[in-house]
Parts: sequence; C-alpha cells; structure tokens
Amino acid sequence: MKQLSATYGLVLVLATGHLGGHPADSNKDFRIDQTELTLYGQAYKNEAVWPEGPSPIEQAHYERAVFIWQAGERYRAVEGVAAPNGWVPDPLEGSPYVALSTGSVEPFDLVTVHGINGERPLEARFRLDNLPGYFEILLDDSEEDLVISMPLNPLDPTGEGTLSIELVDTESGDVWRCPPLRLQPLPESAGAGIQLVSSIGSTLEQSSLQAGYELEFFLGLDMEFVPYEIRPLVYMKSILDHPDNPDSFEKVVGEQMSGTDLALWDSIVAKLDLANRIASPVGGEVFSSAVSSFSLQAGTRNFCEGNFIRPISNALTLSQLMTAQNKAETENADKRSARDIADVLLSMKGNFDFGKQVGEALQNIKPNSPVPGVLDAVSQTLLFAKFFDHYDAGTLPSEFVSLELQVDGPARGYFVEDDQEGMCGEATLTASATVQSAGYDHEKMLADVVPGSPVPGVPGPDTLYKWVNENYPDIDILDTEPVLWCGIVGLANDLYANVTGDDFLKVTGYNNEKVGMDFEPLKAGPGLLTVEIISGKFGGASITETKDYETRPIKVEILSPQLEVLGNEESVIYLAHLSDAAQTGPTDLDWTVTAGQILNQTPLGNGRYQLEWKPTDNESDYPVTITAKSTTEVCLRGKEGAEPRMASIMVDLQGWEIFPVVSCLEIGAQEIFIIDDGTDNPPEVTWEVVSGPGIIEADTGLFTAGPGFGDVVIRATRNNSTETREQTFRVGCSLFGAITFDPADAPSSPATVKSLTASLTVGFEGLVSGDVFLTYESFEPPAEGEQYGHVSGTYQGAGRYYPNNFAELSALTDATNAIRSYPNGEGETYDVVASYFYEEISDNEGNVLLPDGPDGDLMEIRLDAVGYSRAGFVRGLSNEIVSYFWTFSDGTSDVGSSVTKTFSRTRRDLVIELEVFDKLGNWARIKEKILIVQINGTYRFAYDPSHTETACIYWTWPGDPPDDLVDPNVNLVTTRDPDACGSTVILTGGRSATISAESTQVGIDPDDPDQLFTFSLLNF
Amino acid sequence: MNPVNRCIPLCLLSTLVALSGFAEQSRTISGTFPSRVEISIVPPEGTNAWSVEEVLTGEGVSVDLSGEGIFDEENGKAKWGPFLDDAPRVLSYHLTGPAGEVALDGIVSFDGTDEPVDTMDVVILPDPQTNFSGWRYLTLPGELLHTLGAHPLSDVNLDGFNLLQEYAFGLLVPEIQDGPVIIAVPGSSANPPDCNISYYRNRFAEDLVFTLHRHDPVNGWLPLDFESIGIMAEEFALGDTEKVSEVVFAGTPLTEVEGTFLQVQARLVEP
Repeated sequence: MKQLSATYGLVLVLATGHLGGHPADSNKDFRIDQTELTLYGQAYKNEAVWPEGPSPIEQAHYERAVFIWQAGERYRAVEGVAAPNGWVPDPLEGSPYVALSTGSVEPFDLVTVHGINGERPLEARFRLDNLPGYFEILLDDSEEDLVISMPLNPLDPTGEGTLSIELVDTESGDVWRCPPLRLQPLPESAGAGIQLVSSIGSTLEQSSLQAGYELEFFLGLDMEFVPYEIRPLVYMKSILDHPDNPDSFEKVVGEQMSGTDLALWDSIVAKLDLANRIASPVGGEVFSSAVSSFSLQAGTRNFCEGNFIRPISNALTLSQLMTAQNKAETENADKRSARDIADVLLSMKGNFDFGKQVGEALQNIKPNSPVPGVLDAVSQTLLFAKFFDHYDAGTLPSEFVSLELQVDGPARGYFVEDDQEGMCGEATLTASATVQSAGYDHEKMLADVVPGSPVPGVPGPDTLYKWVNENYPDIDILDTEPVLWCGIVGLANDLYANVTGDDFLKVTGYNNEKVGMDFEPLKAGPGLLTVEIISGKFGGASITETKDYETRPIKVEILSPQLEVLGNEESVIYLAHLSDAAQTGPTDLDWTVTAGQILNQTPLGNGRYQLEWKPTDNESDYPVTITAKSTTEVCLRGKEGAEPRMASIMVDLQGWEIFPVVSCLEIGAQEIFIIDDGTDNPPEVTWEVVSGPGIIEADTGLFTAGPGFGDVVIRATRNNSTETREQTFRVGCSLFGAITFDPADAPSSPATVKSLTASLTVGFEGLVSGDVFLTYESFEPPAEGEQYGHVSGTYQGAGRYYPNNFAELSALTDATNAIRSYPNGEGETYDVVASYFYEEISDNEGNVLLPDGPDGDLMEIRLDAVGYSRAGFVRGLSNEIVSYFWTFSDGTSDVGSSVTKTFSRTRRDLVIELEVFDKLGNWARIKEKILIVQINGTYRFAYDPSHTETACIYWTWPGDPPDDLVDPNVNLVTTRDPDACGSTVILTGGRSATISAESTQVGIDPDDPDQLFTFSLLNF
Repeated sequence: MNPVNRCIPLCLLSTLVALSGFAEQSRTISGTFPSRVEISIVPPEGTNAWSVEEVLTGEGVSVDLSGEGIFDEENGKAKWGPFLDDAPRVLSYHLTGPAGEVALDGIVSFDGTDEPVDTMDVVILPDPQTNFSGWRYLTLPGELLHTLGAHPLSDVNLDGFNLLQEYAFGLLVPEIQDGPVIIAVPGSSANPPDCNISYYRNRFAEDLVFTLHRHDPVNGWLPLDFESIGIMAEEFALGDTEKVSEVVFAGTPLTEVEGTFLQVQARLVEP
C-alpha cells in the first residue's frame, strides 16, 4: 500500500535550498493570477517547454499552482521546504497549512496528514465526489501530532473522483483545506486483480525455478499434480504469460481441463473480470462489465450465530468484499467486484499479520524443497489468508457471542422510594458474557497440527496444507459464497471465556447511570438496563445488549386530603394515585374507611382511583381514617415480603358555620345564632360581639341589635379549640341619605319643601364604563307658600371604572433560550439575550400594578424589549439586535422593540413571548406569563356642576339587599350622619345594583357645602 | 473587459497552439431568492486550458458552486478551472450576502487570453433571512460557508439534522425535536382522531413549502391539506401537544402500528 504524507509545520525539517517564486508566477509578484495559471495549464497539458523548471511541467507543480490560485492567489515560499510544497498560500500565514506531496492518489492508498499544532483539537472532514466509495478515518492521537489516516476504498477502482480534505479547529471554527486530491483509476493493465495473479504467478515461477523446474514445466504440467485449489492460478499464469495469444491458453490447458475444471475456470474468469481479455477455452460466454454501485456493510456477520459483531480491523476484509460481491451478483450487477477481492488480498499483504508471517516464512523455504511444497506454500498463503480472514485472525481473535443478564430478585422489581435501609436487601445484577474463540490460539493450533514444523512457529509447507485440505476440503480460495465454518473443533466455537466484573464489562443504563455489577435500584422510574461489554483484552471488541428490568417505584398518594367535610353531606370525592397502576391494572387499589359509607370505588385510569364516600353524621366517629392501599405485592429493593404500599389521611369535620346568615337587623331586633356542622351535635362555642352596636349572649347566641346602627361583627369560638367563625351584618336596615338642592335651582314659586322623595338609580354592568342615572322628585307637591315647589328631574353623568389591577408574574414558563451563546468567528462566543420590561408599580406583596386601559374592560400595557446582542463587528458584520417579535397568548402578535399591548382584563392572564434576532440571524427567546390576581377599582362619575341639584335627601335602604345582588358576598355598607347631608353609600362585592332612597325629612342647608351629594362604589 | 495584455516572455506560449473558432460566453441570472447565476462558456475549438473568475463586489458571496468551483474569499471571486479541454460548460452558483446591490463581473481566460464573461450585471440581494443561501450565510460561522460544512446535506453541528432540515424547522435543539417528527395519533380510520400537530417552522423563508402528510397504510405518505383536518400551521409557536401520544421513530413500520400518522415536510423550491 502506498502511503502519501502531507505535512505542515513538520516539513520545516526538510532541508532544501532557497525557494523562489512558483514557475507559474511569471512576473514573480508572488501571486498566481488567472492568466498565469491558464498559460501554465496550457503548457502543462501540452507538455510544452516552460522557461522555468521543471519542464515539462510536473503534475505536482501544476496542481500546486491551481491550489494557490484557488486559495487566494497570493503565496509565499517557506524556507527550507522543497518545491512544490514550499509554496503555500499567503493568507494562511501563521496558521498550520495543509499540503499534500502529490495531487493524486489511487484506490487503497493511505493518505496521512501530520499536524504539528497538536494543542488544538482538530477534526477532519472528507468528501469524495463523483465516485462511490467510503473512507475509514483513523484518528491517531497517540503521538504528539495529529495523524489522520484514511484508506480510500472506492467501490469502483476504475473511476475517477476528487477527494476533499479539511481540517477544522473545533474551537475557533477555522478551516484549513487541503488541495483537492485527484483520485485516479487503477491502471487497467496493472489492475489489482490481474496484478495479484501475475504476482502469484511470478512467485510460482520463481519458486519453481529455484526448485529446479523450468517454465515449460507449467506449460506442460499435468494438472492432476496441481492441487485443485490453485489450478486456476496456474491457468491464469499461463494466460498472463501470453496475454495476446489466447490460443496459448487452449494449447496449454484446454485439452487438459475436465468439466469441473472448466466450471472452475469460468468462475475464476468471472470473479477476476478477465472476460474482456480472455474467453472461455470452450467458447463460453464473454462477460461484460456492468457498472453499478452498492454499499458495503459496516460490520461483518457471524454467520454461525447470526449476531452482528463490530469489526475491529479497519482494513476491508475479504469476507466483507465477498458479501458485497455476492450481493452484486444477486442483483445481476457488477461482476467487477471480484477484482476487489483480489485487490484486498493485495492490500492485506501489508497489514495482514498472519498472512505476512506466512509470507515471510515462505521466504525461508529452501530452494530444494519438494515441488508440491512450493505450490503448497503459495496456496497456503492464500488459503490461510482467507481462512483466517473469516475469523479475522491476527486482529480479531475472538468475538462476543452472548451476553447474559441476571437479576437476583423477582422479575418484577418493585420498590419504593422511601423504604428504610436494612428493611430489605438489594438486587444484584449479574452480567456475564460468553466470548467465543472465533479465531484461535494459533500457536496452540500450530503445535497441535504441525508438530515438528520445519520452521519454528510456522507450519510446515506440506503438513499444514494437508491438514487443512483434509479437514476442510471445501475451502476454495476464490469461492463465491462465504463459507460458514462452524463447529470447527479446536479452532472455533469454543467457549473462550466467561467474563464478569468491571475489568471487562461496563454496565450502563438504568436511568443512564453507570451501575456496577451489584445493581441497586436507586431511583424511581422504569428501568431499562443496557449492558455494554467492552473488552480491553480482546482488541476492543464489544457487544451491547439491553434487558428490561422493571424497577418501578410503587407509591400510593391521596391527592385530595384537604377537602372540607360536613357530616350531612351526601358524598365526598377523594382521589388517589398509584404510581404503577397504569401497568398493573385497575383493580390494584382498595379504599377503606373507618366510618361513613363507601359509595363507589372507581378506577379512572392512568393510576388514578376515585373514592366516593358518604361522611358519617356522628361526630364521635371523627376523625375518620381513609386509606388507599395497593393490592400489589411489592418488594422493597428487589426483595419480596414487604408491606403493601398504602396511604392514609385523617378526615375531621371541617365545615361548621354560623347560622343563620343575615344581612341586617333592625335596631332592637333579636336573632338566635347557632352552629351548624351538619350533625345533630354541633360543637359548643362561645359567642361574642367583636364590634358594632349589639350584644350577644355568650352561651346561647341570642343577639340583640342596637342601640344605634352600624356594622356588627359577631364571633363564635369553639370551646375545645381556638377555631372561630365570624359573621358581619348591619344593624339598622333603613338607610338615610341627603341630597342638597342649590337654592339657585329651586322653583321660583315661594314654598317650603316639607318632604321630598328622591330615587337614585345607578346602573352599570361589570367593569364596563357607562353613565350613571340619577332621578329625583319631591315626595309630595309643595304646599302653597313653601320655599320650594315640587322638584323632580334626572341627572345623567358619565361614569367610568378606574381599576387598580394587580398582577403577578407567574413562573417563567420558558427562559431556556433567554440567553444563547454563538461563536463570534474569533474563537470566542457572544450572547444574544431576550428580555423586556414594562412599567411596574409593586404593591406590598410584590404584585405588579398594571396601568389603566383605554376602557373599563380593556387593559393596556406597554412592553419595552431590551434584547441584547454583541454590538460591533462579529464575523465582519456590524451586529446588533434587529428584529423583535412579540407573540401573545390571545392570538395577537406585534413587532418592534417597544409595543403597546391591549387586552381584555377578563382574560385574567397573558402569556408574552419575545423573540429577538440579531443581524447574523442568531436569536434568543423568552416567554413569561402574567397572571392577574386582583382587579380592584372605583367607579366614579363626573358630577357636572351645571347640573348640581341642591337638596338634601335622606336615604332609605330596603330591608334586604336588592334582589339582583345575587352574590352572597355582597355587602352594603353605609356611613351616614342622619343630621347632615353628605352621606356616603358604599357597595362592595356586587357587580350591579339598584339603589332606592327615600327622603323622610327635609333638611336643607344651602350654605353647608358638606351637604353636596357624594356617591361611590368600591371594589367592583 | 478587454483581454489583458500581460507582456511577459511566456506570451509566446500562447501562440504555440493556435486557437480556431470563436468563444461564446454568457451569464444568465434567474430567481430572486436567491439569485441563481449561470455562466455558459463555449471555449474556442482547440483551447487547452481555460478558467473562469467571477468577481462579486461588496459583500456578495457565491455558494453551491457547480463544476468543482470554489469561492475565493480573499478576492471575492468565484473560480472554476482550469479545464484542460475545450468542452463547453455551464457553471452555476447561488448568489447571496447581505441585502443590497452586488455587481457581477467575470473573466474567462482561454490559454492565457482573457475575455469578459458578459457585461457587468447588478443584482439586488434580498434579505438573506428569506432564503436558504442567505440563511447559511448568516448562520454558518467563520469560513464554514465555503467548506464542506455548507453543503445542504451537511450536519455541521452533528445533531443528526442536516442544514436543510435545520433551515426549515429550526436551528438547534430543542426546536428541532418538535419539528419534522412523525406524530402518531392512535385511533382507527373509522374513528378519526382529533389530530394536533405542532412544529416549528422558519417564518422568514420564502423558498420553503411546507406540506402535511398523512400516512396511508396502502399508499404510504399522502399529502394533506392543513385546513382539511383543522390543523393550523403555527410559526415558531408551541401548539397543543397534549394529544400527541407517541412518536414513531424510523425503523418501525407504520403499518404495524395502530393509529394515524402525520408528518410535516418542508420542500425547498427553486426561485
């Protein structure tokens, strides 16, 4: 095998003389431009005289010129480095450059690149154009320098192609390109297959001459004396000696060939693709070459066991090629693959250790060896080459054929997360591999079969051949089909070893953690054990096998333990989750209760189980224990006999309340408050009035309203605990208000207003802004002579809801890509950051006050992006954030660094996603969720002074809240001074209301500014 | 451009082999995103060696050069040759770079005699984000644009997806994992499932066509209209994936798995 070396840096050690400009650089300006190159190419093609040597132009010089032109035209000469490698592209100065000693290679060449800057990790990339094939890239970091070896294995050795090689600095991204390698076809006449045969023939010839035989011996050889396996070689040799005289073949061998020999001959011709030169001696078919391509398998196959093994040898093995050939022939395609077989035999001469040993041994065979021995020796070389190739002898002496995984414990390895150490044992994983002697202990074999071999350690030329021939008569050097050699006693299928232990086995898997041979289920979750055996003893062979091991956690959890329970409830629903229930079926969990009645147990699937339970109304039964218990027998950490998994909760009567619920009591009225918990025996409490007008008997709960009016808070405290309940209601159901009338707006007729009836209607809905309507009229017509006559009218004022919207930031839904790093082309990175802000006013709890919107129902938020990317120049571009994309969860989107987002506050939440891009297209993204936790506000309407009605109206509230105040949480709160106008009516908790007020007494004080009517609604 | 008279002693060499016939060369520009440039060269009969240089002004770069052409970053030139014959060739490349004007001016040299490829052309490059060539220009770091790593089928970051896939469905994980996967929705044909498929796609690309395919057990993948089954293509937005219950990886015959299978395909369209 030819090896081409490309050296950079290291070539400095090659001492040469001073190197001037490249001969293509005619004006010696250290630049090869297009015109110069084309002229040079013209002369190169025509092999014309060139003024500056070498002349005629050598291929290497020409291709160097092309490379320099492609790489930027300017170049420099490296002192001490011979031409043409000494001319390197100038832009690469200071960096390792890559130069190959030649611009062309042939199939099966080994291209090697040596690097001197080994401190940086380099990767190599290869590409072969226009030619089907593949590379096997060998990275050798055992030396100080990077060495990349790349055997070229084109599938069509007669085609042409271009090979590109690049070295990449993985940190900086810098790339150094080699000059393109022209892949030349194998010379047809000296092609590998024919060359092989010729070579073998020469060996035969030489050996025979050395043995005292003349060439004519072969021509007149009685084929019966030629071992069957090498007869084709003899035939072929005779042909090659007379390539232009096919008659010679027939003359020599045609008459001697039996039918079997002829068939053998045809097969040889087909395999070696010699049909274009040699016809069958009996006028057989002239084979034609069809071009096709196919892929070789990456691994060899153990035909005996059917398992795939990973080839260790990077050489293309004969068996691989034979497999490929078989495939090609099956597809009625490329007969040329047979040549590959021969080619690889050639290539194996250098790296096929045992074959090499045998070959070397042949050199020691004495010339006077018996003739059959000479032939045997050659045949043995090939025969054993093939033989050992089947078993990858020398490089693959063994293969793993089986892997056993055993777990000491039940097949179903339930365990729990919280089991106590010592309660149970641990599961033990036993992994063992059986290594089959796919190869052999060849020293032992030789000792067995060739005792007394003439050459120490090398089989005797006769003994060994006979031994093989007798034991394996089917072995055919150029057999079409791969031979399945199984059950060869002493050579294969022996159990080579059973290996256990960390020395040879690397056990991985189970939650991706490496575990030792003592397998211990450490984590919850289904486990899949993957055992990979990597042999440090058998040349790095490996086998991987997986085994399911159900190391599932089993855990029962009651999901809803905090439900409030009343004794008189019909049913309460509890849910439990059994972590492994999805696999074990719906009947895997039972509920039990200590009291009450189980109405239903319903498996819901996915490990969820529902209990419908009717609580007991007997207080003494409480607390009630509710238990969810798995019926699966579990084992803790692999050991059986553990307690089933279960979870229990204690349920107590948690729902008790004050009854009845009242909104207001008239002054002087009495009400008996009691405790209701749904049972006949409610807990005993002590009553008290926390605030407000009224008294309550501590033991009976009898409440007497007044004196005075106002809000009252009563409290019941359980005697056996500190638990309390409170209720707030109003004393004084009749509310009074006043409205003042401006005397200027009074009727002109003199009169005295004795009483007025006024009604105030406030209508609005929800949070929508709207008008407020106020209507009023006198209770009865004014009497004659009174200051004010009948007064009536309406007022309509534009109302608006002024919200205080507090929101909180939900957990960041996705900040994974908020900061992203990108290479800046200078070996470093820079960050692209997506971030934004909006006007924030925080309350004491850290919530965010959102600004008002344009309408009562809408909220407006201004978002300002602060996306960041490295400014300045990155990879030669002036860089900055250039694009901002906003995406909102209500389906809208926007662009720009600052946007205003309006959205309905009824959504209650908004997901904001910002994505930024810089000029390089690099991006970052952040996504956040705003959750509105409170909408608070005041409803106000503008009171137009021009419509100020000055009268004082005393307000009367209805005895109960308005019917449409359906929300039980509504509270009507009034503050008033019955002797003055200016009462304030406050509604809380409701969303709509109709309020009526009735004046009961005229009390006009036009000069009192406090008598101006005010009205507000809060907390809507 | 006039032939350059390089008066050097080697000029004599150009006369050693007389050329006969006339050269024909032209430049054709097609497409908008990106521009595809074709240079057609018919050398004079008897030409021994010829090469082409196409100078790109500004920050324009050429990618996907045919005929083993290379882009000389140092000089901003696309180069082909030398070709040691007189066979006509059509050389092509994609033009990309930052948005703006790029002037194209080429020279072909026949045995050392230079001739212009054509008159100078000016191309207005679109936003590079809108096309695959431009995306590679923006995305690939360093010199990678002009190396093997820029090949559309190159997996430059070794994540299992080639550049074309990443251009269509997202640059890096995790986006790509939500991208061109096959989504299996269990159910029978008699009971069409409620399908939801969510994926990332390049919202800037103007040279991509996304199609939805549904796997038919008999006929294989068949194109499907997104809207016909109520699926809306979402652009770089996570959709509802709750109903995605299984991802079938390559190697599992879909016909052996119960369910409806959807996949999104992206196709690069030439301008």
